[in-house]
Amino acid sequence: MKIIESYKDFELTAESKKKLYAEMHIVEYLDNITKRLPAGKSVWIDSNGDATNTNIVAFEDEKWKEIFDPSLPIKFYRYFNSPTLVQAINKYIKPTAVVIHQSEEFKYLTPDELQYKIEFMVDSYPTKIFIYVDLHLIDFNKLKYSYKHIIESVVTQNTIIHNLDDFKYLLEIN
Amino acid sequence: MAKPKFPKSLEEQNENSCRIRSNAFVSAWRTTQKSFVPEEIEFAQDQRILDFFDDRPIYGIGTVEYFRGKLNIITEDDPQSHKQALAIISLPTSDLELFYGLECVKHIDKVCVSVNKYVLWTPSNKDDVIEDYDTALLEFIKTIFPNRHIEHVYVKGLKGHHFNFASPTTQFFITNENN
Repeated sequence: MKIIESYKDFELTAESKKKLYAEMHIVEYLDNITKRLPAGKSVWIDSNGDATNTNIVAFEDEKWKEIFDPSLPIKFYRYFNSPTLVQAINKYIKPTAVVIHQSEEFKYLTPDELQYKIEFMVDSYPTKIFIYVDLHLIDFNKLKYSYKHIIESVVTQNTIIHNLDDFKYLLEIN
Repeated sequence: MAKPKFPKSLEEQNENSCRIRSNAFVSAWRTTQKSFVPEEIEFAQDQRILDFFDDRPIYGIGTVEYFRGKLNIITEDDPQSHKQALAIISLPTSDLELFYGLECVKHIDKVCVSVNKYVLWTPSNKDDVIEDYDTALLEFIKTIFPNRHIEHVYVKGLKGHHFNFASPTTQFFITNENN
């Protein structure tokens, strides 16, 4: 019997990666985003965007590349906060919205890191921005600080906080 | 900016029940993740639990299903009639729910409390709780189990790599030994 401490103790197969990605990107609350999308193209980053929809441009982390159907027009990135990625999206796609839904980029962050990433999105994309945040997956002292305190402390101006369920929020920015 | 609307479950409640919730998702997630490794494995946190208890009955509360076939888990009966207890907190649980959930096992000789620290919540800020979360959790457990020997096992800087949502990595092994 082998004792396993973490994901670093073994290699994931392509099939396992596929299962893991699916578990990490459950389609819950999708309607709450799609019904609010403005007309035009939307860019979905690490959000399992529907690449068969001509109004959606899906960007996925390069580490998942092997699990996607190569015939789909999915684009891949290496660094979420790369200026090149931001520039390419703004210059060549000219989206009306950028969507972050169930993204690993917004999980296991401290409130400071979450705030930084939200501000990065606002500074990078002059569009409507939707960010799904599950506060269960945010790293803070949960005996000391309430969820209400944390979500209010990380949002920027021009943000509507949609409460989707207990601890789950959709931030609608701009 | 719109103010967030908070569900009723987030409001302060004074529940006093010896219960911690459980559901099948956590067990399924453990099975899924274990299937990623081709050989037979045990998560380190599960193995610690298996190593801690002996053959006597163990009063179980919370998400203990996985251990039913591996340990002598009992979930009925009066908890006070047992010498060992296992509490696994894997679902959203308030600080008050946790406190009262553990109340019923606080006099048991040998207790393991295993907590997914990501799923805890408090309805209002608590100024008297210390800043470091891992230490705050230990202090919280000490208030329920005063004057007991507590071995605190946790992953520093815990993120998403340690199967914590399948089996909690923050564990307290509580005994009567004072050494």
